[in-house]
Amino acid sequence: MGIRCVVYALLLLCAPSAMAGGFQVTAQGVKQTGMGGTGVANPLDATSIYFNPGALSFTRKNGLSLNAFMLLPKLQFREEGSNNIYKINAGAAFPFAGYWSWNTNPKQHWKLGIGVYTPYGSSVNWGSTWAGRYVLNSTNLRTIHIQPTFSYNIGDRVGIGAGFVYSRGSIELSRVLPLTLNTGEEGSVNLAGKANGYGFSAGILVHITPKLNVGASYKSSIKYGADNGTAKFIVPNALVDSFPNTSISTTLQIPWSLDMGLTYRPEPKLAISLDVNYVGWKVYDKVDIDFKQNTSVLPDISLPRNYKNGMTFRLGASYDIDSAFTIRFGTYLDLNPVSSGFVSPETPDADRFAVSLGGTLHSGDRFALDVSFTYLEGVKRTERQVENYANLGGTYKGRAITIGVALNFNISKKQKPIVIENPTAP
Amino acid sequence: MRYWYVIIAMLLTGCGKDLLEPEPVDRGTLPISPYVAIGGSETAGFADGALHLEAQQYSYPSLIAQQLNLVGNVSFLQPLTVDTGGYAYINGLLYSKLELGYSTDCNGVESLAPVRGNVDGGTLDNLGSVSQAGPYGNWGVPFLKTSEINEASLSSNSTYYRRFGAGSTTFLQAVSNRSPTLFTIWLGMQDIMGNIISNEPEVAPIQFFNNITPLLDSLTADTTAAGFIATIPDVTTFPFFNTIPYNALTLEQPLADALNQAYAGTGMTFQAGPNAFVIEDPNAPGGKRQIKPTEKLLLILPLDSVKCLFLGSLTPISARYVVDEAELLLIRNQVDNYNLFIWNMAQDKGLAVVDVNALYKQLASGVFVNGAEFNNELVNGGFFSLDGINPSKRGAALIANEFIKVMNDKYRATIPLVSVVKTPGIKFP
Repeated sequence: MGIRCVVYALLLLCAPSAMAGGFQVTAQGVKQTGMGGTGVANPLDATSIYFNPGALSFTRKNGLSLNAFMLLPKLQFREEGSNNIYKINAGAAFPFAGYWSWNTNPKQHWKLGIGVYTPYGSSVNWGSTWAGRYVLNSTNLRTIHIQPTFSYNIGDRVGIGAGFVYSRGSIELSRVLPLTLNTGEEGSVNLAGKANGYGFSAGILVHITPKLNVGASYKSSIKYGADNGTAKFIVPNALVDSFPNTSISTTLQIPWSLDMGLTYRPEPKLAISLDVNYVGWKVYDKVDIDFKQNTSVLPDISLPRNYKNGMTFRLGASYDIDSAFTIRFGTYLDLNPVSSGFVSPETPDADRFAVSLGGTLHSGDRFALDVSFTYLEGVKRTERQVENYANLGGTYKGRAITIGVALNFNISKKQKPIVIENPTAP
Repeated sequence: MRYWYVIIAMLLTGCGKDLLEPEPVDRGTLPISPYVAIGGSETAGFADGALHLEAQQYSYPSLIAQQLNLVGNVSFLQPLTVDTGGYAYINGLLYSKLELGYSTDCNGVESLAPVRGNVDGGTLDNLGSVSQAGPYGNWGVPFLKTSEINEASLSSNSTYYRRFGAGSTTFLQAVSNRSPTLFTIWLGMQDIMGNIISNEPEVAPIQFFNNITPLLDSLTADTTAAGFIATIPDVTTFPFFNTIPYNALTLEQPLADALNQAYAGTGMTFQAGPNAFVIEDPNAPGGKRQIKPTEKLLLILPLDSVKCLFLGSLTPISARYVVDEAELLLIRNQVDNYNLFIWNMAQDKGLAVVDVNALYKQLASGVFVNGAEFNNELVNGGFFSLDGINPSKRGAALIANEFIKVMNDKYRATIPLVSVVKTPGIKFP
C-alpha cells in the first residue's frame, strides 16, 4: 500500500469528531492513544512524525504505520427552563492517520518520513428541529495535514526534526432560520468553504540518561482563507430576494501547539510517559463570514469565539510482556479552551477526563498490530451562550469511545537496533 | 486478555444510558386545578385580527395549562372556534384572520402584507354557542373592557362572550361560579385601546380600579386560591402604532412644489423625498398641520388613499388614524397609573404580580431566545401577530413563561417553561 492509497482513504473516511479539546482530535497514533495520547519523548515508530519530528531519528525501523480509528461520540443537551433533552444524531466517525519513514542505511543519522493525518476536526449534527437550531443545526470541519519530515540524530543523544505541513481544510455549517414556510417547515442556510493552509512542525528529543528521554515539539498555527465558499439559503418565496445564494469568503485558524514530554524507562520492558500539550486556542478568537452579496437582512457576520489557550496533561505506560506482546494504558485530563458564555452547540466543550488501554501484537520483525480503546467523559457543563445574542441556555454532557487499530509494516530487512532505544543496562 | 473484554463490555453498557436526565418537576404548594384565566383579546387567543383556532391553541393561558399538566392534572378547557379561519366581528361585518400574503395596491404594485385569508366559508359556524361543552377555563373575551365585567348586557353586546358565556349571568358571576383555585388576570389594555381606536370614553385609572375590585374580592374569597395579576404594557410601543412612519409621504418635486403652493402661509413645507404627513388638528391654524416625528399613525391607515387620493397631503389624515403628542402623554400616564393600581391591588388581595410590562419593555432592545430575536417590529419582530396588537404564538409563549416564572417563585414550584422556539412561527408565503 502506497502513500497515494493513504491519501485517498483519508479523503473518503475522515470525519473526526469534536471530542477532544476544542475540536482537536486525539487520535493520531494507536500506540500513543493506548498510552493516554503521550508520545513526545517516546520514539516508537513512524508515528513520531506527528508526535515529535525530533524523535523520528531515534526510531528503529523503516516502516509504514496505518492507523484507523472509530470514534463513537455521544452528546446531549438539556434546554434550560423547558427541561427538554436533545441528543446529537451520532454516527461513528473514522479518523485515520498514516505515516511512512525511510532510511536505507542504518548507519546514517538521518531519517525521512511523511505523515498524513487529521489533527483538527468536528462533526456535530443536532438535527433540524432541536431547540438550538437557530444557532446551529450541524457542522462539519475537516483538516488533513500532509507533512514531509526530516529528522537528524546528533551523536545518538539528541534528535532534531522538522516538517513542512500542507493542509487542506473544509468547513460546513448549517443553521435553521427562524422563518416559517407555508408548509410549516423552516428556512435554513448552509455555509461551506474549502481552503489550503501551510505550516510547519518541529521537535527535539534529548536522551538525557539511558533511562530518561525528554522532548518538545511545536506545531505551528495554520490559517485558511476560503474565498470561494458558498452560502445556500432555503427561505419562503416571498423572501428569496433578501437571501440570495451567494459566494462567501471566510477565514479559519487552527491553533499552534507546544507539546512537552518525558519518558522514563526504569527497566527495559517498562516505559512511563508524561506529556503536557499547551494549545494556542487564543488564535481562534472569531469566525468572520463575508457574503459577496449583502442585503438589508443579510449583513456580513462575525462570530466571536474568544477561546483561551488550552492544556492537556497526559500520562501513559507500556509494558512488554514478552517479545510478542505489549500492553499499554494511560489517562489524560483536558482543560478546555472555551470561555464561559461562549460554549456553543458547535463545540460544546467541557473539561474532559479519559482512560485508555492498548496493546501491540508483534509478528516477528516485519509486522505488528496495535489496538487501543479510549473512554472519555466530559464534565457536565451548564452554560448560557451569549455570543452573537444567541442566548441559548442549557446543560451539555458528552462522552466518547474511541477504538483504534493500526497495522505496522517494517520495510527494512535486518536493521540493527539503535542502542539507546532499549537500554539494557544503566 | 480476558479482563479486557470485561472492561470493554462494562464501559459499553455504561454508554447505552442517557447522559442527562430531566430535572425533577414539582408544583410545589401551587393549587393548579381548576385554572381560570381572565382577560381580553390576548387571553382569549385573539390574534392576526381574529379569534381563530390556532391562536387559541397557543394562547398564553393554554400554554400555561399545558405546562401545569407536566406537574399535575389541570382541568382547563377553551371555547375553541371550529375552523382555522376564525372570525372577527367588526362594525357588523365578519372577517377571517389575517395571513401573510400579497396585496396589490392602487398603483398595481404587489407587496407582501397581512391580508384577510380566504376561508372555507365556515366563519359563521364559529358564532354558534359552545357553552354546553364547558365549563371553561379560558375566560378571555376579545375586546373585554373592565366596565363590562359586572354588566348583564355583555352577552348581548359581545358575540365572543355569547358563544360560551353562561346566559344572562354577568362575567363576574360566571367566573366566580367556577370557584378557581388558580386564576390569572390580565385586564386593562382594552380600556385603553378602546379609547384610542374606537373613540370610546377614556377609562380613568380610578374607574379601572373600581371595575375590577369586585372581581378580585370574589375570586379571593377563597383564601387558599392562588391568584396572579399581570401588569399592562405601554400599548403605544405596539407595531400597530409604529409600522407606518410619520414621514412616509414620498414626493416628487412637482407635487412638493404644488403642496408648497397650496399650503403657503401655513408654515408647512414640502420637498422631494420623504415628508411628514398632513393631519387634522382642530387646534392648528386652518385645522391642519404636519405630523411630528414623535406622533403615531395607526396601522389601519388606508394606504391606497395615501398613494392615489392625496390622503396625508392635499387631504389631511383624520384624527382617528393619529395619536398625537397630547394623546400619547395621556395614554402613557394611564398605563403607568393602571399598573400602579395593579401593584397596589395585588398587595391588598394577596395576589402575585406578573410584570408582563417588563417583558414588553425589553422588546425595544430585542429579546433573544435560542438564536431568535423578538422585537416590536410587525412580522419580522416575531412577538406580535399580524394585527400588530396581539401576541403571536411565540409572543404568547414568552408571556406564559413570565407567569410560570412567578408561579415557580412564589409557590416553590419547578414547572418547566414553554420552549419558545418549539412554538410555531409566523408563516410566510
